[in-house]
Amino acid sequence: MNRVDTIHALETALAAERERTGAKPLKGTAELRTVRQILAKHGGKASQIIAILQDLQAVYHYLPEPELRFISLKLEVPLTRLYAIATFYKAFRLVPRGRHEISLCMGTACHVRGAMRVKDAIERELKIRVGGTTNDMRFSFETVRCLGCCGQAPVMTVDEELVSRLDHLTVGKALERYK
Amino acid sequence: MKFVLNGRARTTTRGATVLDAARAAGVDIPAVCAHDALQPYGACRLCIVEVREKGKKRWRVVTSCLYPVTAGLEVETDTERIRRLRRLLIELLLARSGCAPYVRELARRYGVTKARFSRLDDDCILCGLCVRVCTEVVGANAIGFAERGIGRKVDSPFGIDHSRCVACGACTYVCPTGAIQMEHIRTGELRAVGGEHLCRYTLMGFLSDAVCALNYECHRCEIDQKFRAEAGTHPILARARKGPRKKARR
Repeated sequence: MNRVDTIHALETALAAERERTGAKPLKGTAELRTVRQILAKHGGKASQIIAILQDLQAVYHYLPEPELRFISLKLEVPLTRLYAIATFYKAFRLVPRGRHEISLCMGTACHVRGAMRVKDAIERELKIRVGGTTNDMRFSFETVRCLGCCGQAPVMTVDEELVSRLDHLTVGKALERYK
Repeated sequence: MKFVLNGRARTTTRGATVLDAARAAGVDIPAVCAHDALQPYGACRLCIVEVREKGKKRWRVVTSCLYPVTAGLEVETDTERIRRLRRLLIELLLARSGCAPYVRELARRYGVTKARFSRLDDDCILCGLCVRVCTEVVGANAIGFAERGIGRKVDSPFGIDHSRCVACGACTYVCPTGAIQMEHIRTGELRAVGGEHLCRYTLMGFLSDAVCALNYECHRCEIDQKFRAEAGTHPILARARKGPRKKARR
């Protein structure tokens, strides 16, 4: 089997796998359209591998295995290498993440002003632990060190937005607007 | 190229590394991660030596497997400083893989009896020989490094994908500590996996025919018997020594 055939076979297999597992349907008919676009944007160069993975993660919030296999074939980079990169950098994730990313600050100032209680409140509210993702894929929850705005402690970011002056009683309400 | 090794004038070919030149001159430098069939890597750090470039004052500690010999270079392979640093490295290895006979022997030779660091009991010392032989010599790219820092390990993609492995056994052959081993899977089970993964010698290109006259029963195979008998010559490494098939991809 030559390389083009392999890619074609892989795409067919991926489509079947998506259908079988009932994974969320991809828009349009073109399977792997997103990853194709990302590859095209970077000129299909293996030297751009980190940027490609970052873009991929920006779309899916994690690095899906089928897409990594596809990139490996297209760029002729061994899958072992992609896996090494994806596991080496903390920024890359291989498990699915929620649509919204909560990063709760546990820095000194936030800690003093009750970040632990806020953490417990979020865990109770979302029924997940730190590092977890809700079953409906709505939220992923992480704690971070210092977000650098101690004057508004305790703070968290949801996606790119800053939510400040939290307390354990109102944090649930603050999360309601993220669907 | 003229240089000085342990106080004696020597000559070596252009482009040779200090390790190559020293070994050619009969001076032993311990090196775990160096292999004739592979590109230098510099992971184990045991091959450290002291060097002084021509016209320079300071002695520097460098890994001899990566350091090229230059004209007038002075090399000291067994100074007190080197022995002290090497003992520390061995201590670290001992803490990580204290059960591996290879590491214990190394420690005995350098008089390291106890490691001051917390023990890990992982036979893998992360020398990268298996990963490199799989990439550079076999070209299968079945295993690679994963994670980083203290979590670093040798793994197949996603921890389970063995589809690229041709079962050549080169990784087990080069592994100094025996951390990586072949799993003996019965032929019946292999057949269930699929015909293309059956014969390692076909996959390596030593046999042309995909159909085995012995019905894939390796214990009856002459080539397999020979391979097992000839300790020290893994077929794929023997081929590589004549000249690597391709350069390592960066």
